[in-house]
Amino acid sequence: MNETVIPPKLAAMLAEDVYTLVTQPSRELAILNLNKRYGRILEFVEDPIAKASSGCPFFIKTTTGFGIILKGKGILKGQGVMVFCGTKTLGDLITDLNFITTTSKGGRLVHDGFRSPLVQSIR
Amino acid sequence: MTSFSKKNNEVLMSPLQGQLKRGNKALAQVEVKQVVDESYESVTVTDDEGCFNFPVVTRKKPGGFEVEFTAAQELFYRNESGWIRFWGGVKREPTLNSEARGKDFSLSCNIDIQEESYMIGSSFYHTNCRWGVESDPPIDFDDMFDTEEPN
Repeated sequence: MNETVIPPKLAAMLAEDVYTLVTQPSRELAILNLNKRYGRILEFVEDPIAKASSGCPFFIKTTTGFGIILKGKGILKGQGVMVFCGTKTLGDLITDLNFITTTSKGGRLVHDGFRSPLVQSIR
Repeated sequence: MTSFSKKNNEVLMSPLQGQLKRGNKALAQVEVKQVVDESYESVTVTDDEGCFNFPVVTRKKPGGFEVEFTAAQELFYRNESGWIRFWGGVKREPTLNSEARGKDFSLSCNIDIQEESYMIGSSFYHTNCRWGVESDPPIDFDDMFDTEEPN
């Protein structure tokens, strides 16, 4: 299978732009804009947002956009791109404290604070 | 509303003055609403020249921690059918006047013209307004994929 490596500059730009897409209430505008910006190589589908909860179950808990899934086209045809958000809310900050490691499906150790929202968003 | 201090405050929306028109006609005595991050709202009324202004909207840095900054911005005017958006976007820089690349944020809005999208750094705006700012140039993907060697 022919794989094109995402250039670091593009990866950095997507990592910045994911926040505009997960910020309400301007999501539809963000999709419009990002399609204009990246439309030659990536497709931002109508509902590309993966949602997950962060924070503590008993007091601060927020459900926000956790990342986006994009479909490649042009030079990236046949490939998919997943972009994840970093720390944006107080709930995210609390989730960051959950740095206990757990075993991923692939058998590797990962931070539970990352794994849990990822599993939630995939369900 | 608070005064802006670089150290502790982030600017969610810079102070702005604007003029609202339909074609060549100023829209006088029209309600204009500003909504920032869905939680802050302010309403004003245009004067006889269609002019309006809003002061700066700031917030303290959340808990003093560094988190990714985003501020959703919207401006609406009211007509007989309700609130109509003429400015929408997400500000990604916490600095004053980043919407206008550091210059005064002065909008000339015409509800008869086509809405356009502007990317300014990683912020974006979709609007019927013009404010003397050009959108970033399109990304040159050919150059990006040609020059970067795969690891």
